[in-house]
Amino acid sequence: MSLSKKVILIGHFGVGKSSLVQRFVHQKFSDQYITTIGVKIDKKVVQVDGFDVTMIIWDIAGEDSQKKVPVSYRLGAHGALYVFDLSRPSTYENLQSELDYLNQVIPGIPVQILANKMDLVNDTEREDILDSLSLEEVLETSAKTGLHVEEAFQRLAKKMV
Amino acid sequence: MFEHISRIERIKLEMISPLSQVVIFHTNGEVLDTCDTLIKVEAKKSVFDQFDFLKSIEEVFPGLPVGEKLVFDVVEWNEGAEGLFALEFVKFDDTRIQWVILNKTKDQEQITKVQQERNDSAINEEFLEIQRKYLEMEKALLDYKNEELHRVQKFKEQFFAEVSHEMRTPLNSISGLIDLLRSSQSEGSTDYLAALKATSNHLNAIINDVLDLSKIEAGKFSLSLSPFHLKKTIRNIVAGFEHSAREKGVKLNLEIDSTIPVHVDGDSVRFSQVIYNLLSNALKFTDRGHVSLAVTAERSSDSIQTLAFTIRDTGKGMSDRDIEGILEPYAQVEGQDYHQFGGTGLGLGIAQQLIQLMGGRLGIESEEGKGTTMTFQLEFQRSTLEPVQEEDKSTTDLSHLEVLFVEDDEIGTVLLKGIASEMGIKGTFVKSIEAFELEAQERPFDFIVTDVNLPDGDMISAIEGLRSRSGLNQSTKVIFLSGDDKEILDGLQEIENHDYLMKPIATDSLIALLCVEEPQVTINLDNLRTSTQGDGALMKEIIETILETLPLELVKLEKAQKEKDQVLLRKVLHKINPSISYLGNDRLINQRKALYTKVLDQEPINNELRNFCDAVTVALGVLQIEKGRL
Repeated sequence: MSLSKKVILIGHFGVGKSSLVQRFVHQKFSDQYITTIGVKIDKKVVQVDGFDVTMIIWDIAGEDSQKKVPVSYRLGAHGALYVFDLSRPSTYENLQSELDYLNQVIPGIPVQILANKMDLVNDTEREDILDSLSLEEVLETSAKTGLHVEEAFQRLAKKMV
Repeated sequence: MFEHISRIERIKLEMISPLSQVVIFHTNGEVLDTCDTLIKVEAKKSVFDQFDFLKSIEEVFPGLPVGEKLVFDVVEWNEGAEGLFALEFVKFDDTRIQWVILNKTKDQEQITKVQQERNDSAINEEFLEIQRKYLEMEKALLDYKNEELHRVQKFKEQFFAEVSHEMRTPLNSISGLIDLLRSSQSEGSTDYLAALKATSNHLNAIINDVLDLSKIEAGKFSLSLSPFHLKKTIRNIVAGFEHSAREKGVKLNLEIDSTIPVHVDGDSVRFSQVIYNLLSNALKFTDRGHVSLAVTAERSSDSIQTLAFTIRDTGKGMSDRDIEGILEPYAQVEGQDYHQFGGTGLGLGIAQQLIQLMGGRLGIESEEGKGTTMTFQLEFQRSTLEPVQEEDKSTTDLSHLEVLFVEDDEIGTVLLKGIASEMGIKGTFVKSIEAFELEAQERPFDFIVTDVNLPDGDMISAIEGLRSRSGLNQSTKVIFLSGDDKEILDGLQEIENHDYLMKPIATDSLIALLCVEEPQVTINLDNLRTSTQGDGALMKEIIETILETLPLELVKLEKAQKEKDQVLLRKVLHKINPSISYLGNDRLINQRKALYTKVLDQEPINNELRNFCDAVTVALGVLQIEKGRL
């Protein structure tokens, strides 16, 4: 049995959303920063509890506030990956209010929070940041090394099914 | 076909805007119509099965209100065609959706560039903000460190000052009491007393070192300028080391260039401290061989003479690293036995800083195991004045002095009484300002020696009051004693005819002030003026008579005392009463009266007559000057 699910990737610009998709879908990584315009759509099929889940991944251009994202891009979304950059405080300073807003515009949408670029901070810094956020189920990822990338999408797929 | 599109729109799509495409599909996905200008869309099939991204929003279309547009400004497309597209969906009736596709691939580069610049700029701003916050934190840290440094520095200064101040008083007393004991104890205890004296001197020297360094570091150290005998000063310092050098078996050499000036202007105390510290250090670390001091004349002009000083030893020497650290305060060469060499480690640092204050620079060359050479040059002004000759205190007789001592501290009082007793001074001791006021109004004193702070007030204000009132002791010289620097004593500088000694006072320093300063003899012609009703000519005539006759009477008095002629003594002392009264000096009036009473009572008068005659002679000199002013 197969399912098709719309997944939106949201977060500030430059946090590594497109790199995570590149790593997840194409197993590639590039240090070059190419900003995303509008939305870039990709797909990948993952297995969840015997289901083939086709994740239609809408990689939306980064904005410092979700209020700036066009409504049409979020329409019909089944799940969201909220990505922030561990090395840039501005990308997670308002994390809780951003998540609240997302839940307000798409009530009950499953969200997986990803703390990306964990290769750029040391253990102490990472622990301090995550402790300060007081959020459950934050997954630390690195699109560069591929750490936890597959697991991130798998976790969301499981939440969506 | 394309009934829903106007003819004009169709022409635009096909001819003018070939980068557009329109697809008409049912809300259930079935493709009803398409112009296929951009992508291949199969009719009759579900559009949701042909395009994944539409599949992912399939459920949106049935609920889309009629006439409402669903717009995607920019979509990166990779299904059926590569590129960047703008998509627009419009539900134009209950079941049909018009999907307009615009190919914006040709604009992609420009759009990406603009967007990337915007993002780069924003990220740069973020980093600048982070940098700014970092700099703020660094500044805060620096401010904190700076405050901490100031706090430590202030603490250090206070600590040095307070500790030294607290230790001065008892040390002063110990030192002074030992002086007194030495003069009265038997021969057998002299060695112990000498050791006690040396120990207290050493402790005093350490405290002075700490205090000097504190003053230098605080920038509150100033040098005095007065003439002194350069060669004699150097010889005296070197002579002070001869005994310890001989005991260690170290040869002590002194070479002084014969062309150096005899007298120079400078701070002899601080210059001596430099030479003392450097020689002491050299001797401390030299166990065999020699320690030498060479003084040579360098550049010179009519008024300025540059002298080079070289202190050379054959001691243990130092490494380059040791030399770097040796001038730091409290530094002693690493690894050396503190107990063996002792000292605070301040001596060299102080010498270096004093040399700098005097305009020189200390140079050190050393080789481990071979010895050390220290050099510096100083400029001295050739002195035009002869230095003040120091009196031999041991032969000084101060029995003619009447001194009012004001001191509330018990030990300090004991010390002052000891000094007064030893020097034969007629001392009156009081412990409060109230008692001082009473004594000062009672009779004239040659000196007032006083502590600054007393339980009932400060003596600077009390002396100001004394100076402002005409009467006894109005102009009597005051010697202030204080544990505080004179610079911080408010109002001290405004006091006329005063001197100052810092506690712990050295016995010699106080005696020197009492010896060097001749008691000032003043006269007051008010009595004469009253008697003559202000007749200037008459006053002058009486003064001339006094000037002629009184010296002769003084000769008679001395002769009478020598011949123990009590009758003559009585007659002359009686005869000179009017003349002495006209001089208007209370002290002389009282002295004459006291002498006359003693003679009447057949009591010995010893030195008192001599002192009286000396004082009258000085007063006659003053009278001579006054006569010229009439």
